[in-house]
Amino acid sequence: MAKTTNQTPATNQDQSRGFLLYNRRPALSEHVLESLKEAEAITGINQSELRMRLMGLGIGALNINRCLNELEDCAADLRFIGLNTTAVTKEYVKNGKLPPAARHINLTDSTIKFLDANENTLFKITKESELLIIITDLSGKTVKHLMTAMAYTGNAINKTFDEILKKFSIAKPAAIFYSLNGDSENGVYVDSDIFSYMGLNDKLTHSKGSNFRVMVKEAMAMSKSSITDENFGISLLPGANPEWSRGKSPVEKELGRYTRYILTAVEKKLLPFEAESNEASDEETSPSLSGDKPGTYPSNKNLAGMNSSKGLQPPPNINYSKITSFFQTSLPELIVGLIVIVSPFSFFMSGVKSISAHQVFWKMAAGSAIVLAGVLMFCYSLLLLYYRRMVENTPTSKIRSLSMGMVELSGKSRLYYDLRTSATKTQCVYYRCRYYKYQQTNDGSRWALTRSVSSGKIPFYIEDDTGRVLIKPKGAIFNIPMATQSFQGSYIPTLSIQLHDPNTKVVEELIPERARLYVLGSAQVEKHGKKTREIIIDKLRMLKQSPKIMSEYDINSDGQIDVEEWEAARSDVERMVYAESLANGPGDSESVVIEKPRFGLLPFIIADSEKNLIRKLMFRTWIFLFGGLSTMGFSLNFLVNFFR
Amino acid sequence: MTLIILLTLLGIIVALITFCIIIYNGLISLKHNISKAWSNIDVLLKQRYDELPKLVSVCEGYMQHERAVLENVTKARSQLDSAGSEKEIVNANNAITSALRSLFAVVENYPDLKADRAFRQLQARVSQLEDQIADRRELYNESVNLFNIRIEQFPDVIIASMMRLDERELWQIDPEHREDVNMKFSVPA
Repeated sequence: MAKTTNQTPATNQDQSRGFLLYNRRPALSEHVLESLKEAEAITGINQSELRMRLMGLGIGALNINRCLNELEDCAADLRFIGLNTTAVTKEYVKNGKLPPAARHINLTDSTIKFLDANENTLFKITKESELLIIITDLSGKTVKHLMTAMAYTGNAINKTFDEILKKFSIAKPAAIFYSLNGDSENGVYVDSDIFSYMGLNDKLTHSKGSNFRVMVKEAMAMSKSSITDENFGISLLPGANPEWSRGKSPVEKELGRYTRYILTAVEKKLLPFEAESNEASDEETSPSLSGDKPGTYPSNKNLAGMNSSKGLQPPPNINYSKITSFFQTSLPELIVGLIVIVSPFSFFMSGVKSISAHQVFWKMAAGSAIVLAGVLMFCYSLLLLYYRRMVENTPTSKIRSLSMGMVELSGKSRLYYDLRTSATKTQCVYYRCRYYKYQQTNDGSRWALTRSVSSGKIPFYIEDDTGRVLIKPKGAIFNIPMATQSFQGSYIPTLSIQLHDPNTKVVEELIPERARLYVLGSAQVEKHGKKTREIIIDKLRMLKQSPKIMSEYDINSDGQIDVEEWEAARSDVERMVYAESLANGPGDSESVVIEKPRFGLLPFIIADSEKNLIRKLMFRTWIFLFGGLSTMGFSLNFLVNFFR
Repeated sequence: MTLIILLTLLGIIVALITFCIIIYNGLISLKHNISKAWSNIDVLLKQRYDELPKLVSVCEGYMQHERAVLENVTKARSQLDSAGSEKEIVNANNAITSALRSLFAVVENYPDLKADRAFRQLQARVSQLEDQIADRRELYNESVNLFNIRIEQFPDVIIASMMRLDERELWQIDPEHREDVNMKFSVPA
């Protein structure tokens, strides 16, 4: 096993400083989310940043600028709260070099030998070998392609390892093999451009790329166990980010550093995801890694499974028209907007001399607009008071014994769809995402909102200790403090790579899974599938198409189904369908959902807790009540003076 | 100036009247919440009432020596039949719950009965109903509690006294039903 620098004597600043290495997670489990606060205290990195850094594939590194001893203490503390972390020094990584390059490869049925130019054996793979394989593309094209696909579709990890390997084979593939049988310094570098194959001619072709693929697959199949790094040496590791545009040699240099990270991760058992595997037993959402060979890196197939969260379906696309988006704005915003736009405009117009003939009109318009705004604010305060009383007066139901009509529920949010935020692909039950662009204008510069995305109508569950029920948030008033994460530039979620761009900014607000939730809404029965009438029609249609069954109803055996015979058939079918529906009960065809009440001003509110909601509603009620009354008083005074 | 004062007074009066209306409506909704919670319990009590004869008939086949236990269940059921007031219904329901607890405890002595599919289904159904009744009883008590608090709070107390609203009783478990069921197991020879 390679010796990490924590065992190497420190001689300079680099030696005494380093990084924290950790294994990223495709989905953050509850205990990780709960540990974020403690992790923030330990590392000094804020929770939202940590959440982004922890999500993704492979290993990640945190540069928290502390000396090695402190880093090791940090790592121990993080391990204590369930985040598998280890420390690695900068010096160890900096000195990372590629192992000797192979010139010839001799493939036989029982071994793969990597030979140098003089045909001396550099490295040997047998059935007893335990391997670390790092694969990359020296041209950078495939890596860029995959990165883009991951960034914009988020589903590249659904590709099988074979598919990815195939793509690499088309470009300029390279691989590093290390032995994990005790001496991990024992390795070999394989660049598909500079070696030739010997043996196993029946499996080889004229294409270097496909031969490379054969060699990797043979190595994996032949060895006892293998860990394949599928992050192509491009993970967000400090100092190990190859600049693909600068040609082959910098890539090779960075790969040397990158391998040091991977070796440390393997040595400290970060890569086999042992912690994730343990979590799977007590966490529903943590997928099982069963099926992996012990000590192997989870395959892409596994990762796809992990990412899809218990096989949840992705949410359907919901398009919002501009009108819908406009009416989604809350009422207070509309009122304030009304005052802000109409009143100053009217005052301005009433002062413009060129339209002095219309001054009276504009002054009246200004006064009336403010009176109207005051009345609206007053009415809104009463509505808020009504909502507050409703929240206070409605008892909290248990989900198991939910009755139809207005209900109040308290529990935790759970996923219905595999919903992910649009920028960082963080799993959540609800999100709002705003994209900004930095713009220079005549008045100066500002962040201009370019796009706003919300998960809007996507349903989710609320769960208490007795069960769960679906919430359809269409038309709900969200009064819940959301977790906010913002960053400048764009973000590649699956790799946890943030591409910095000072001119763009993304602000993401989300309600994560298992967030504390309070819901006041209407419980309704939702019917799924076909109605009884439709089932009867279907059955009758099938009956018509089956001459054998039809002949059973041909009582007078004239070869024709007359009206009476058809009536008999129809009543039989009806009886059968009703009997079936009675026997099966409502079953899956009916379910209870919580949604906006279908009539009146009854509220549909989603909040974090009843106590906080009442406090907020009370505060707003007083603000709007006094605001409304004083606005009305001011505007009436203005109008009275004007008419005098 | 007088006009302004008049308008302000008018505004305050409108606000007060609206506030009173909201309080009045709130109290009405609280009152009806209790009725709704009670009706929702009633639905479940009816469902359990319908399941009891089936349960007793399944048990009778196996429990020839436990007539008393089965009779208790039947008696409690008929008590519910004759119950008129809310209090009588609560008492009858408590009696059924107690009788069922005794029955399920005694069933432990009858492995054949425990293995019977129909019995298991009925037991699961009755237990499920029991859980739901317990939840709804909790909801009922919360509704009553909210109502009782509200009618004693200021300023609701003024409107509540004008409406002559009285304190409602919580659904409390009879002390004798809180006692543990005495379980006796016969050891097979």
